[in-house]
Amino acid sequence: MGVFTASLREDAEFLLAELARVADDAAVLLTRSDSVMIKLAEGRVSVSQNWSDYEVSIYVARKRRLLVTSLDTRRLDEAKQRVKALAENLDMLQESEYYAPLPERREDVRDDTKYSQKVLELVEDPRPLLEDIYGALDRNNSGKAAGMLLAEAAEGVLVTTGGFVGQSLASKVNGYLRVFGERTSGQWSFTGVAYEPRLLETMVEKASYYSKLSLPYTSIETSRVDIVLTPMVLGNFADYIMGAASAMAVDMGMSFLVGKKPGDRVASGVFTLRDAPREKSLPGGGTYDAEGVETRDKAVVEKGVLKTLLHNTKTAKKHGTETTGNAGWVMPHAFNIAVDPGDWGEEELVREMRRGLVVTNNWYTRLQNYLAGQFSTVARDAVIWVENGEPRALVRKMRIADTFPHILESMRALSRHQYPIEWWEVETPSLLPYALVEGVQVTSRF
Amino acid sequence: MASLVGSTDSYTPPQDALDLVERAVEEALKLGAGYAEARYHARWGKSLSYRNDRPVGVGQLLEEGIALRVMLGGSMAFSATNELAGDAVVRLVEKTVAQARALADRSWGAGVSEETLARAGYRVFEKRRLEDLGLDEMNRMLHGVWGSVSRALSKARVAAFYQNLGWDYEYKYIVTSDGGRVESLTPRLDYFYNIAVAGDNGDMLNRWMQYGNVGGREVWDSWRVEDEVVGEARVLEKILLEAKAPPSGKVDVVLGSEIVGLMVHESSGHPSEADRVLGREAAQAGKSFIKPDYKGTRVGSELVNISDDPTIPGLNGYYLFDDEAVPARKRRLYVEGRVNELLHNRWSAYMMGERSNAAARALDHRSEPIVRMANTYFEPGDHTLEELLEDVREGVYMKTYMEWNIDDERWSQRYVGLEAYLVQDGEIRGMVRNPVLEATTPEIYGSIDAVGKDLRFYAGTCGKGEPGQPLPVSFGGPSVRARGLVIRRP
Repeated sequence: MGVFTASLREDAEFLLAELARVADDAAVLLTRSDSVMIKLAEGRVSVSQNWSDYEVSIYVARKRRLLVTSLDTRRLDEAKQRVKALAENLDMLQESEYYAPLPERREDVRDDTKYSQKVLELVEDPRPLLEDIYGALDRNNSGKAAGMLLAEAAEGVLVTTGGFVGQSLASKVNGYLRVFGERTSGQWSFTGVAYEPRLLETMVEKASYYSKLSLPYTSIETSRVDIVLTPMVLGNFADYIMGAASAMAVDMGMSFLVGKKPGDRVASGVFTLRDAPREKSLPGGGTYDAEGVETRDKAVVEKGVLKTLLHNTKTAKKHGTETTGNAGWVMPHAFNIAVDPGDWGEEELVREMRRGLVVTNNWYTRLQNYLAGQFSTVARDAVIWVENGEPRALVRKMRIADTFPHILESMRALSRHQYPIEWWEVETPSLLPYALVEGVQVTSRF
Repeated sequence: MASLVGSTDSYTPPQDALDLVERAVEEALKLGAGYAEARYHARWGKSLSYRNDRPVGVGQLLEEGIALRVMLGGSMAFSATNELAGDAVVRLVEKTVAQARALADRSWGAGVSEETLARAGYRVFEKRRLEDLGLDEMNRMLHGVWGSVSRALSKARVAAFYQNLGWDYEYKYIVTSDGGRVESLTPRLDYFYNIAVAGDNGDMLNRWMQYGNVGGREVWDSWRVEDEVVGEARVLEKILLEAKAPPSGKVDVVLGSEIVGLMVHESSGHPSEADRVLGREAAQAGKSFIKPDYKGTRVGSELVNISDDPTIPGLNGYYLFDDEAVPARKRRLYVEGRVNELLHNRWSAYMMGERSNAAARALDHRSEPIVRMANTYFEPGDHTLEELLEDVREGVYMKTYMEWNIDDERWSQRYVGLEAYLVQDGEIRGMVRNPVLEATTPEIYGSIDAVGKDLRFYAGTCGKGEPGQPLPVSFGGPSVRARGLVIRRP
């Protein structure tokens, strides 16, 4: 690990050559990875986990029929035989309306833009991460914590019958922490290509700060209120919104962007949402997608206006447009998410709101109607009631129950600092500010 | 080298991998582990996805590997690899034991409860083998469903219909250092659909649904998918055309079995997971309103009896021995409205001084065995649906849902009805749209005064763990009647 190895490329080219005998188009993606995860609970290590993986993903198109195979085995000969046998059976299906030839791109690309060699040392011995988090917990006087720290290094090779050969090295350091205080709790996360101790420190500081809030409890009524969303909450919403922007989600009838066209206004003018595969600090993406297409950072929503859905060559053909470099052989997806910052300080946003809530974390977002974007989500950890621009009380529990179109229309202001977030409820690595949203429907019955 | 995948009748697991499992446990003990457990875990299968009248694509799954878990000095470490070679596995064992030792001074505590462990093997019988279910037949099945759905509506239209049909086999060979040895082979069929229905005025609704059972090709026929999906499409059409605003305020609520099944999964099964009670999942899925001194805590009326039973043949969470080689049995979580028993694996049982009840499950070779549900259900009563409705003066019958959630201590639940009806003087008076039920766990369970006999199970994918382990489960129940719950408009 840590260098571009010839053997991985040879394996991929061998498989591609074999599959090309039965396929009109084919692509092979091999990934070898090593990772370690330390889980914390009650301020102690509950388990350490290590993985050494070798994964093979194969795409085959034959007579305009599509096959995608996920193989987690090193028995390549047997895997190859089984893929070929199934590929030869594709003829009995009707043609897929999503068939498009893999793009011609006769290039040999090496991508180490998302790699830090030092992460490999943490994969071998994660104790420095652990010592850093215990040091930060001590400095913040926060003993009762639970969370996760992950270090991962991977080498990948993509070869396609379009002539593309891509080799990548990638790394990731990711963590999240929940600190339990006397009256409430706080949770925060960080993610990155390299290990940056200041991000871990920020995670501990933020989670500790919210956990130590010493305010009286209050309850709220079902009503519409202004809310400051932390990056943890905005990231969860951005994940759903970006998911709805996948052209395949639109075709499946699982998107509130059904019927929307580029140029339509879908959000307030302060809101810009980007897919950022080239963002060097975030571990998603790289310089090429699963079809070998060069990736690019792009606005999906720019100053409130829908600019594009996310496409691979297949959905692009069906929608009569160009790929955006977001393959997914079948499902186009974002690699990283970035919400553009505004020019507000975080405390300024709260003062500007004057009366409302700061929702610091959420989970369990579910939709009643994907086409309307109608959802609810449960706030967890500290929820702060603000009066006259000042924190006044803690709301024990509540939900946001609104629609994504309304949340987007009601974005009023964003903070100037972005945080790199990735955890259970923010699955795509994301760079996110705080956001002030006006008139959000909340419910409380606990 | 034996084949990874063979006929399920004559399936021969790769002996080299099984030998490595034995060797991993031996090596771990030699290096000083107090407990070691290793598992060869393989899955293979096929799927077909469809949009409207034609396939999107075919999917194929093939995975195998070895998982190892060791405990020593109060420390627990887990490792997984798919490099099935002796030297690689020995290196893995050395690394895992060394890591457990190195982290011992920071560790929370680890050990396993004393159990009578199984030395056994089983294969689930299929009337028609899933591996004989070829693409042509899968294609006919999904095309048939589309054919029926596309003709189902007269006043609204199907805007999009997405389906995915898949099958897989799961093979496990588990060895523990204290004598457990279990081998199993489980076939499973899954089906998912999402339908979007549009009215003339641009109003649109969607409904998604998941089916899943352990068994062979015969499972498909038992689902009667075409009839069910056509019925659901017509319900959506009717909601678009006829549904009115629901009543708002305190009313009686009859909950259909689909909602009851989900409710018991969320507010009985999850809070009964002993690792949550202990706080091991606090940063992920959260904690539990059930505390370590849980015995006898009242959560509902005396009609509330909720169990979880892995041993019910055919259900999506079926197994006979868990992934720590403990023989499975029915777990009675709530009995007559009181907390009776938690779900335990051997670690949580050790930490709480109890016995495991075989709730350890792992998704695949990359996953540690943690406390999970299997098939969770509300025990049926003796009422018909008509009897549940007949003395409701003013209320709502919520038959199905789309949106739901619950807080991370499993205290406050929310369900938004999809197929839902106004009930007046014991009669159904017409459809209502999106009635919202938000109440606490004891409010709902405490208000149940009658339980139906129409027990039905539903398939689900339960999320837990880090990395996430989305596991097949089922949950079920009969319809129940709850008095005086607050219903809101969205």
